[in-house]
Amino acid sequence: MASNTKSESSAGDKTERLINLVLALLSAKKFLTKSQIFEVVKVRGEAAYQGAIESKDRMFERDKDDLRGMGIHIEVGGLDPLFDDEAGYRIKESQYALHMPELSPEELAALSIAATFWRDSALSRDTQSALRRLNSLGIPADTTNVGLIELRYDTGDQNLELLNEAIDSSTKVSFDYSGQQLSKKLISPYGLVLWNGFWYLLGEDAELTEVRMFKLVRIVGLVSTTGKKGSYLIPTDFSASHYVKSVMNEDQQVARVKVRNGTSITLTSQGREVSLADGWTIFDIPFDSLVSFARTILWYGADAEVLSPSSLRDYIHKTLIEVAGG
Amino acid sequence: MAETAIDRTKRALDLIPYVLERPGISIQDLAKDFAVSEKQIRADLDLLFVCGLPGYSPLELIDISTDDDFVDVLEPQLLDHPRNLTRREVVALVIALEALAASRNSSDPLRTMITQLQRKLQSILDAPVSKPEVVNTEADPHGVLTAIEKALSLNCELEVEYLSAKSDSRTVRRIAPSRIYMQNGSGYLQAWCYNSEGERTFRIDRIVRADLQENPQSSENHVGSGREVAQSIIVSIRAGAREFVERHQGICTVVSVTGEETILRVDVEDTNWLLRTLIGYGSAARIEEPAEIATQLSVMAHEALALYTR
Repeated sequence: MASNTKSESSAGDKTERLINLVLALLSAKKFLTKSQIFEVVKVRGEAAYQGAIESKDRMFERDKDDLRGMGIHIEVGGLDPLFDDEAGYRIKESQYALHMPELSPEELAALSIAATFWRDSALSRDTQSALRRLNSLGIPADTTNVGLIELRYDTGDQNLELLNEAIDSSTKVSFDYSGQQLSKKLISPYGLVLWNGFWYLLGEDAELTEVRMFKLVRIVGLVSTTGKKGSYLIPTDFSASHYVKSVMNEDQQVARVKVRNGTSITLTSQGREVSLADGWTIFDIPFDSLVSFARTILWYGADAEVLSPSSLRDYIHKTLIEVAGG
Repeated sequence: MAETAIDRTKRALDLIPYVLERPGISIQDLAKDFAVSEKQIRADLDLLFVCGLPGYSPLELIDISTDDDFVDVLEPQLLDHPRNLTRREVVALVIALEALAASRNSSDPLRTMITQLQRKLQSILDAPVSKPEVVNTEADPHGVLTAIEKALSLNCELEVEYLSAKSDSRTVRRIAPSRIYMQNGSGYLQAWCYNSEGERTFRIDRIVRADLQENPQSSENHVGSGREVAQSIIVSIRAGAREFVERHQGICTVVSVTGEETILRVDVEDTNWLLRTLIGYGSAARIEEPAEIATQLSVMAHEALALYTR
């Protein structure tokens, strides 16, 4: 039905049309109806919307969606509800433009450092674009913090963004999780935490009806949302960081470790000296996770021996047998 | 991949306020800042030049001058203010700020600044976004980060006291810091080390003291890095040792996957580091090749085992 319209011939034309549409809607004192838009918006002297009315309509609807996709808020309103039922459109300057509470140069510097977090991810373009606009607000550049830390996470991935959106809208998610075995999970996501260098999802497992923690790097592929938005309630007293802390503190223990004098310096710097004996020193060292502390002790090979607790001693003993016997 | 009209529209709209803040900016700098070619920036400016308000008389068009490749916006029409941030952009920045917070101690003033900044970003949205959380792990136990950052921005040297796990020693070194970064939960400082006359990487949590030196970094070229040559070790990994791969993605290449076993090539400069790390994974990690490295691991385990079998 629609003939090939000239205005769709190149991306340049479409860009011009979108910019002129933004400007027309921004400059409108009153809501503009579609027919007014078709009349006034031009590209290089010719009407921007051409062809049959249906194709103009379709083109305009698409443009409107594109602008909204760019985050531009298009307001819809009637000209006069008594006489005219045709909707009108406009863009309010207060909604088009970035109006931030005042940012300090230091805050702007912190934002540009933080943005390095997304370096390889799909969100890198979004953050860079956001930064350019934040850098167009007339805030003087601050270079005193150029030495600030850079962020490099191998695990900054798209699931982080998808899960944050799901939590935002209380939408359940499903994904393949590589735990003890690979299994499919259906989760009501409660929160995300960054702990010890890794991102974790906390949420209620539909099968166990209990809150569980999932390491994001062990999620295979992308998570997908299932069901409607707002399909569960996050308990009001739930705090992701409290949950992680409670899991950790259950395991807070002190190990008694015998260390060959003059060695294991990093290890013993975290502990308290208990006694000396024959070329060795005994230390009490606090630890959270048995497995990761065992790995720390094993790093020192024959220079460190765990005396207690027996669970830790036995675990190390067993690990050494495995490696020595192999 | 061809650029969409949407991406181009965004950039064109954003160019105007960006140039207004930087009158006379060069095409070259604009290309760099917007991560596109100079040709593309020229095309964008040409396009903006013919856009404007309905009526499209000379008074209603956007006016830009590009004399000698230096750009000025003479008439922005209504585009003098930058485009608002989208919800997606706010989310991305809020999450990134949370990751930045994780690099600081809970008492660090930057933490307070980050919380305020997150609030400001949230305030431009109709409804706040949910925010991930950082569980406080003290990334900087000895409070040396501030001194390091100061040294970097003033281009000064540092005297540091360092606990080396690798050589199991406590040393005092004079260093010229070049870069700091957080990688998977640990902070690292890259610096020229005068004591070892080479580029070295230090774990920030193992620097127990960092003192700023008054003299600026000497301009002599830090060349002749004492870096060792990387060696490839073939390691087979089972589920229990997956964390090894997750923590050290940069040096691991998957060779093959058979059933529950993954064969990896691990490129290391220091085999001692690899042995000390792998011993902690027990039977979940096994060195396949070269045989002498596998033997070294077994010997190391035998020696330690003697402590437990007395």
